[in-house]
Amino acid sequence: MVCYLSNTPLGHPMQQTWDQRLPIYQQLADLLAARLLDGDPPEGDAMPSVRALAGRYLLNPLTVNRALQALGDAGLLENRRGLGLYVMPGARARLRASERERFLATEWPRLRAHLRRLDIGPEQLRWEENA
Amino acid sequence: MTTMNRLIPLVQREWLQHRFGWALLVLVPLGLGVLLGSVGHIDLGDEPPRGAMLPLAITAISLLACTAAMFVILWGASLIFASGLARRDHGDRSIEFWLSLPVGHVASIAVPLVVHLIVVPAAALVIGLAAGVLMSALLVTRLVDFGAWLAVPWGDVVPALLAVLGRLVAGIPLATLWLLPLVLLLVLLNAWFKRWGLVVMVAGTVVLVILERTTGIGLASVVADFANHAATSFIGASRTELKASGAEEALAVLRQVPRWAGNDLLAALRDLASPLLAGGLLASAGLFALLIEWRRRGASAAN
Amino acid sequence: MDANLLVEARSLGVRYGAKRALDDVSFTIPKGRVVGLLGHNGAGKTTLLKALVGLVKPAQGELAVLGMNPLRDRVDLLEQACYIPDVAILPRWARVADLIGLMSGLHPRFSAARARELLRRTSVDPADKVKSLSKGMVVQAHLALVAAIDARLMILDEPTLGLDVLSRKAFYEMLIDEWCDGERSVLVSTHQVEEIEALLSDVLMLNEGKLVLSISLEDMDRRFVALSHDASVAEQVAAAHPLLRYRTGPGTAGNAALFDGAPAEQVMRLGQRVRPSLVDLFVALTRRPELDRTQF
Repeated sequence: MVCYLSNTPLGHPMQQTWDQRLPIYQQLADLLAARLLDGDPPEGDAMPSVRALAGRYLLNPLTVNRALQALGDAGLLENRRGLGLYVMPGARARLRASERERFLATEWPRLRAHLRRLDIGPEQLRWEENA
Repeated sequence: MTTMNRLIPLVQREWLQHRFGWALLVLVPLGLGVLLGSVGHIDLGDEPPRGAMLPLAITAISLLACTAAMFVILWGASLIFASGLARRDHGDRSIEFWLSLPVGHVASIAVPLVVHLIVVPAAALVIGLAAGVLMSALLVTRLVDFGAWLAVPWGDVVPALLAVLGRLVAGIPLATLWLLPLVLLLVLLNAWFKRWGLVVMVAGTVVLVILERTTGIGLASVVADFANHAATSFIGASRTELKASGAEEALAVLRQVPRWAGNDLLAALRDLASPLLAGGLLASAGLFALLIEWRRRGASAAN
Repeated sequence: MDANLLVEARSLGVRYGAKRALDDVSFTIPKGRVVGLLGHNGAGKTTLLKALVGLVKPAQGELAVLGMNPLRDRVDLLEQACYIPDVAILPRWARVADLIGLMSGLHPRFSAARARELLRRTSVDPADKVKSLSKGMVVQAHLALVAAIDARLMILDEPTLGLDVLSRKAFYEMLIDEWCDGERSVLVSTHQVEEIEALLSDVLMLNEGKLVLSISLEDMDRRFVALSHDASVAEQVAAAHPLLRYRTGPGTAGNAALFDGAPAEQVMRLGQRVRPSLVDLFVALTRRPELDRTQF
């Protein structure tokens, strides 16, 4: 499940609470992946430092490292010697593709069953409107 | 080991914690003295000294009285405070804070003892003397006139004063050495028995006296000996007296005071070479070690 | 002596009279860790922390902190390790500024400038007298003073007791910002397990003087398995002898069981694997025998 946080106008994240389902590092990885999908930080740019992330989310830096490791293993980040972690080119596309796959494989069937239960057909779905 | 640099903050702590108490103990008696001296009734007795002797006598008595009073007040208060040294941070539980600092147990106990038993009484003597000078000016001016005070033979009085001051200030650490086993015992008893330490000590003394009266075991006399030596280390070790009657003799005596003070100090120093003191210092070392051990355990056991 | 290990304890035992406050406790703390020390009241947490700073003498076992013997080298150790006991214990007669001055003289690694800077973030003014401060403010002042020490090992006994939520958050932020540099380690004993779980890298659990768990959180995620399942399969799950069964939420789906090591495949299929929370693990490993084992 991808979580998504919005920033308050001051630039500070709201109080983050970690749920019981997944390990915390996994939840952080998902959170960072969601932000990558939104282009924050953009491809080719550096990821925020471990310290910065640890301070922002009030996590142990070792946990942050595990999350970044997971993103690296997923091919989204690369380690540039002496410079740190950078967002790999094509990361957004890759992320979008895998998210799309996951949605279509797991979430969509559930959503579709739910819609069927409520007897909502494609005509009732207002596709063109923006949220 | 705690280095010299760490000792200074420990002394600073005593100042920060007690400066207002000390100020009170100095200023209240001083204020009272000035008040009484200015407006109180002064009875010069049946045969007051005449003429030039009067200002000198008043000055001498003022100096003596003020110095003695200031000394007794501050030394007495310091003794009372020092006896509770082992438990002083237990009331507000700050002992755990002090124990979390990199300061050795030895320094933590020894520095306050030195400050309260030696430094403060010595300062009291100096302050008392200064107060005495003030009071003498006040009284002579009131009873005669200011000119008479100025006319006091300061050329002879000042050296005598300084000599006696020097003797007394030097006598404080000597006297403390003699009293050390008793003081440390009281501190330790207060550590073990909280407020009942003094009661235990007094009870112990009574037991010793009874013991001596009944069985002849002279332990009480030994204790009395220590007290005696402490007193003479402070002043009077040479056991020579100075007497004066009449103005000229008084001045002659004054001029002898510096030498007398020097001899007295030497006598007190000679007194130190005594097996009694050696025994006392040994006992003190043992008692101090017990105090250290108590402090070491003081944080873990329930207080 | 491994230079990367800041604390090494082997078969540590401490006695208070006949009572064993600590019994055969062995663990190590490498550098760069934030270790949570969990336990019920009387489990021995404070005794353990005091043993680390030489305030308690172990009856058995060996203990090396920063390579030193806490009892013998107490003064040297306290120059490089700092310790906050579990009660608000600053001297009541002092002003905070006095304490800054005294600590500057007494502690070679204390920085007065840092202390003042840290105090600025609290509601405590250096001119305040300790006796005029509330309990929470005394804790804040003490934390600021201790945080100004450049120590390699921080030993904190319930440091957030008496602090409100904002102050606790400020403390956690300071912990992450200042102390997680990979070289220092922090050992924190606390009751507020949920709040601090995200900050920990390792955990030590004490129960009645014995160390029931000494593990990194990473290994904990791998070793312990929590299974969220429906009420209908509860009996089958129970048959696999979990450490603990508990509720995660209302309704029939809110049941969970905690296992030490993954249970058999068929049991795993009965539900969904979720993260074992530190709180639940703590309850599972330290619960009193008189509590009902099948408590739902």
